[in-house]
Amino acid sequence: MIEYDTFFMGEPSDVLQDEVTEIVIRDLTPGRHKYRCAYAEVRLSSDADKYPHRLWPRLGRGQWVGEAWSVEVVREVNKIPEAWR
Amino acid sequence: MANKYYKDNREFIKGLDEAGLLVTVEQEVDWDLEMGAVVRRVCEMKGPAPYFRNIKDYPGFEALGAPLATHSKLALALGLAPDTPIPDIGRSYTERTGGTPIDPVEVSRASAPCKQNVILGDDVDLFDLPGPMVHDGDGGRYLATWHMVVSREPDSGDINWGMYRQMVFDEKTMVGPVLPFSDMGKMFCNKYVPRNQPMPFATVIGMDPLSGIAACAPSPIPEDQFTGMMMGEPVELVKCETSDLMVPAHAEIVIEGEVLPGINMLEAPFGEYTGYRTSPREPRAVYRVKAITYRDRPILAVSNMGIPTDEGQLLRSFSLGLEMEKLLRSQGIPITGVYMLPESTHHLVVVGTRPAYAGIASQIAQLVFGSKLGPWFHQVMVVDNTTDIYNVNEVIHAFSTRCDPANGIHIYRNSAGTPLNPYSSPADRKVGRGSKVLFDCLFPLDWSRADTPILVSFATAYPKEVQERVLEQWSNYGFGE
Repeated sequence: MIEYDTFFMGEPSDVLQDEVTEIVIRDLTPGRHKYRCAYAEVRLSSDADKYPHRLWPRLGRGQWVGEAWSVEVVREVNKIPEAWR
Repeated sequence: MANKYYKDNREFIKGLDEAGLLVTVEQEVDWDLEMGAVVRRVCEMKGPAPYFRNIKDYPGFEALGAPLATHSKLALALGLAPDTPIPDIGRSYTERTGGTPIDPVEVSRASAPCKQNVILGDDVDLFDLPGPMVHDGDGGRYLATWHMVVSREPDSGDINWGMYRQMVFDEKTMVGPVLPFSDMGKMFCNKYVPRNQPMPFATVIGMDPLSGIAACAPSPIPEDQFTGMMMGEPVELVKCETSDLMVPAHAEIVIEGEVLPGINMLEAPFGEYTGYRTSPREPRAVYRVKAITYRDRPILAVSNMGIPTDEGQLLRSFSLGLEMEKLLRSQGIPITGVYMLPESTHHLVVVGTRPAYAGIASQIAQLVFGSKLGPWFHQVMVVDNTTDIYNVNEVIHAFSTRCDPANGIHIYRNSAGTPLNPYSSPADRKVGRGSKVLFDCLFPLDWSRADTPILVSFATAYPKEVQERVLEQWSNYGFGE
């Protein structure tokens, strides 16, 4: 299980659950690459046990929500245009 | 003739140590919040700069925290004694930067310590640098907190050095705000974006202190020449690996790449210079990294924005105030001085003036709000020439007693502001709009002498001979020296 966090732009109650949605996840694995960000298509749930990885929500100005969600990463999305990678 | 100055970060560290303004931290410190917390506490205590010798996960790297966050460190950087009074530090800066610009000089790669290690292309990984997680709740790790970003106007060739925060997104990508009214923002938004042309950049970390001061200064003189003026001789630059941009040869770390047009990625939140996390996570400019060069055993420079006083607040206040003073003097306004309080997070500027004619306070406010410096602050307080603008007690007294709430406060709506202003509504922050205010603390000139209140203080309420006798007898009264 990998632990991630993410920033919700609105209220957690407004977040689309169990459907593929694009968010930015941050990898919380300790070590040099901790806090690496990635755009990803994910399914997420406020049920901490529903998907294989843990997701810690934060609000738009970094406020810690405190209750774990779960997430399945469908695929990472590279936003950089091919010519400039 | 060269002024006394420090050629690089390492000479400055020695200078700080000799002046008692450095604490060397030998024990391991975690880049993940611990280092930021130490620097934050140092800023709030106005303490000595911490020099971290041992960073968790990053053997071979070091870091210098809060390098210029007090006036004593600023004085030292300018080659002055650490206890130099603030007005004298300002005078030294103004004298040095009031002459002829001094062009930089290019040195060879072999003479440039920043080229001791060169990482290119696929080998680039920003996580190989010990970018700190500065505050809990930040949107990412900020490699660039005390640094400068070099860019060039594509048509005129004008160079800009400025401080634009950059968050590490992934191995080769940083993101950060490039506000459209900033110097680099004007270049990027008005020239590169319409042409769909990537803008070369170089982020310089751990440069000599005078280059850092120049990068903070809102002077119309290009920063490389401005640095030379402060040094009294040319600053040494070396060409980048991936573009024709030039960077200070003695810097610790240089990150090169391009700012991409037509694409934004999520950045922030971040603990900002106002002392709040105000601007939300939003799509911002994308810096794609192509090369990293660094000195052997590189020393990262780390500032920590928050409540006063950090170097952003101190140096922006210092240079904004002095550039405003140059502007007002150039217009013939009879000012006695300008001081921007660092504690105001460079939002409040105090202008001392001889009240020579009616409406002078409004003229001063309109001039400084209308200048290119305007978006960065929103409060002007004009006091008369009997008030010591550097003495907060006297300034508060003048404001509280001479500013008429009905007639002395003038509000200017729909002005240029920044998305970082905590007081602005969310809608105003979104578009960078703000309001501004003048506090006119001058007694009206049409009051007769008989009707004008008289300041009562030791310096004004006693004859000179009485003052001198009291001072002479002070210790005899039993007060000590």
